[in-house]
Amino acid sequence: MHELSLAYNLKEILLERCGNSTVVEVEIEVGSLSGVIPETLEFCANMVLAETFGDGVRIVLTHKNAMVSCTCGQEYELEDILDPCPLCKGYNRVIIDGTDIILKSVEVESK
Amino acid sequence: MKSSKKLDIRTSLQERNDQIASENRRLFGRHKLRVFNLIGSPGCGKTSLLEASARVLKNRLAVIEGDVMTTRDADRILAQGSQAVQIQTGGGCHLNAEMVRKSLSDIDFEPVDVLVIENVGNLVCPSTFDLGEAAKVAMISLPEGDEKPVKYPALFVRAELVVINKIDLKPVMDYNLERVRSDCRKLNSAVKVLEVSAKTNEGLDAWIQYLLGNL
Repeated sequence: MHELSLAYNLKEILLERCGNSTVVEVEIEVGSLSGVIPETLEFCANMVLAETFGDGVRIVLTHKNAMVSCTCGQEYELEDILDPCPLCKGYNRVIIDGTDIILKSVEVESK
Repeated sequence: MKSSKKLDIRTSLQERNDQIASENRRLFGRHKLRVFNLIGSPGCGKTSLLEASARVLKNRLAVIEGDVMTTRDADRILAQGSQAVQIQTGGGCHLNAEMVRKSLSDIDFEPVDVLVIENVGNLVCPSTFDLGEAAKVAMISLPEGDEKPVKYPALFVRAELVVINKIDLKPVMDYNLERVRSDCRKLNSAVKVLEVSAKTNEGLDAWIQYLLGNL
């Protein structure tokens, strides 16, 4: 249920950055290791944004697989969390992307 | 006619929480505190391990307890001689940096070396909210089953230490410790793993040394 907290954060960011415009669409990138259920975030965002911006806001969620960097030098995308390195078959890696929930863009109409 | 345009934002939805967590982290630094965010399921033994820790560290330890309701956990820590502050989320499934910041004014940092923030019992939601800690500690226990790390990877990829509690039950449980250790390493090659029993105090010394920065 922490998706509800994130939906309120989204509302605050929109009020701060786009408060004088009509928000038409928000695009959010959900990392595979962000701990967020996309459907739940969409449900919560629809509910929270409707309170402030009306029913018309389109919520576009895009999925991003985690990216890791292996000590052998290979960088690769994790389709599955237990995928080993395709080059050295090892697991000595650090995560370099895919842990965040990012508000990428907002489409607005001037009032 | 209305014109529409697309604004490039690229901001984390955790931005505000992260800012407050950074402020908490600076304050912890000024007080030279080692701060840990302890995350595990309800009933895995988080408070029991902290009770055992309080018996050893006394006023060098302070605990922030996060629960949906009651001050029972904080009372248990206080009874062992450490400071404890209770946060009641009133339904919330995780602590956030703002809740922690508000609770800090109730702690006298002077004698304290180690602050443990015991998060709300939950393996999912608390893992992605930075509270300002130096490290996250994931806690699991034998009765939960040996597949927790791969089922809840978002926590285990972020943890510096995994504590496996209730190790005294090993003779009576079908729990594959080697698989848990191997899964933890696959998820997070730098992770440390400690086996403890908050009941028998097995592994307690190593845990205390970890808290003090000697492990």
